[in-house]
Amino acid sequence: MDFQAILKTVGILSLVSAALSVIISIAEGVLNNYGIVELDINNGKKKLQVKGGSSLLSTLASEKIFIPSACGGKATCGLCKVSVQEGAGPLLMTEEPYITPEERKQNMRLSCQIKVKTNMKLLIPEALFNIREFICELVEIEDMTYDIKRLRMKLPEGQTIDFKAGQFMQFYTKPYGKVKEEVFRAYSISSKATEKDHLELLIRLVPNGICTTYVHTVLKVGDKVRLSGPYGDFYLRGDCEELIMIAGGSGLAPIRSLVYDVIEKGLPHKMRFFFGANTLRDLYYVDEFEQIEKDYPQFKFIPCLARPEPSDNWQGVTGFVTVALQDQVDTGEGKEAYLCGSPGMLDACIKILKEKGFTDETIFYDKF
Amino acid sequence: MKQNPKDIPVVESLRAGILTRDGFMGEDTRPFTQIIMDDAALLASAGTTPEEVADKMTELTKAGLTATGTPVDYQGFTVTVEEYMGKLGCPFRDHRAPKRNTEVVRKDGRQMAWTDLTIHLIKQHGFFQGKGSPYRLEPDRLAAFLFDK
Repeated sequence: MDFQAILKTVGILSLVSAALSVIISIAEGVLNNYGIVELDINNGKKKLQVKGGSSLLSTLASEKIFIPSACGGKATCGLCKVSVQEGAGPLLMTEEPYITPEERKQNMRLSCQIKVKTNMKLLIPEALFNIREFICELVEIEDMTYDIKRLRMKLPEGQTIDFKAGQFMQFYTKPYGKVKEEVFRAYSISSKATEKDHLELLIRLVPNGICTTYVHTVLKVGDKVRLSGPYGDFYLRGDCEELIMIAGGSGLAPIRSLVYDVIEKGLPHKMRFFFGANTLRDLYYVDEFEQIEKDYPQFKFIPCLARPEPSDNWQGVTGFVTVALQDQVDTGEGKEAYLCGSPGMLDACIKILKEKGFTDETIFYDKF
Repeated sequence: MKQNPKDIPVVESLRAGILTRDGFMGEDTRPFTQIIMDDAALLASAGTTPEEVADKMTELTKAGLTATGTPVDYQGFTVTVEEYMGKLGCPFRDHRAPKRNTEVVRKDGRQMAWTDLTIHLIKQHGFFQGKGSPYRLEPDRLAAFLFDK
């Protein structure tokens, strides 16, 4: 075959490829074009005309309806459940692990997994309509320990947030390094609920964590930070005489907010805060909680070190927080427990609390 | 190897920056199904199974959990478990594992580390992760480490 014939063949093949690409693009456009569909929310209370083709979670977010999610829409947290009465199609394999038989009866679905293709009828708790998005400015970033940072963010001028102490926000990262798309994760608010123009979060560095690496290595003062919230049902019930608060690591965040909430509202509850850490270098906010203890006799701060170094010269409780709990809490009668920490710590503490008479109705913690 | 359409969400979740910063594939260019097959052969040649390996790893992690954050001596191993808040989803979308790292040192100085998700991936999916992934465990080395071969 001569050179001209080769060129001709290549040319023909290129034209065929280009034509096929155009046909595929057109077909994709036609097949994936679901047009404008209607979302009927809460039996006609709200009707939205939206463009089909995206997940229900992101479609609702684009309409400023924020459904809680801790995994960023990857079907791994199971938080973004919404009751879909019509238009969702059959349950997907990716949803199955997260939807209980009872929830199936209520047509609960993972909003991150189902695509908006036709008109849908949804039931969404009214409380979720209060969730808003904020583009904040990071005004302070402080090392609380070697692996926990405190972020202080200022809300946009003129905007405020109403949240219940103990609730959480979703924090959105920008693409960085190998992370090519926006990711969001859930973090409890550590600041006072009365401070409505700022938010504070405590974020511990998790090895290989997407969001925590972003916070610890990329984020700097002056950066704009996208948040949505507030979310969650971890907040004060207070139908008791004493609050037993238990935290480890960055789990201190919602407890700090709760403690200030009780104090600022002038509530009569006694409070005991058990804070577990390994060594002295893992403790933080100690001076602040000791000062609260002096100012408010109803509050008792009990830091516990599992393995203090000799150089720590530790005079406080030595041992795991579970040991202190076992020794110092006699009964669950007249008490509620508020916990935030790692799953292992939560499980161990809940076991002890239940042995002492606490029940599922008097133990509160976030499940994300 | 042609990709099965049902594997597409898994392939997506294995990428860096989706579930974890570095993902699960490292620099490995093989399809994950091929990695699973290759590692199954390696593990079989070491005379054990993913279930046996994962069960031993779970046993060691449980030993470390008796004193989280503190080194625990257990049957010739020193185990340290560190826990973090929250859970991490499995890229195969069938499980949420606590964010928990286990570091294990043998008396002879050999050491290995894994997460709870690593154990699940091995036990349920036979997936030891791609070469270059931060939590990739070489199946034959892991078997030798766990069973002192």
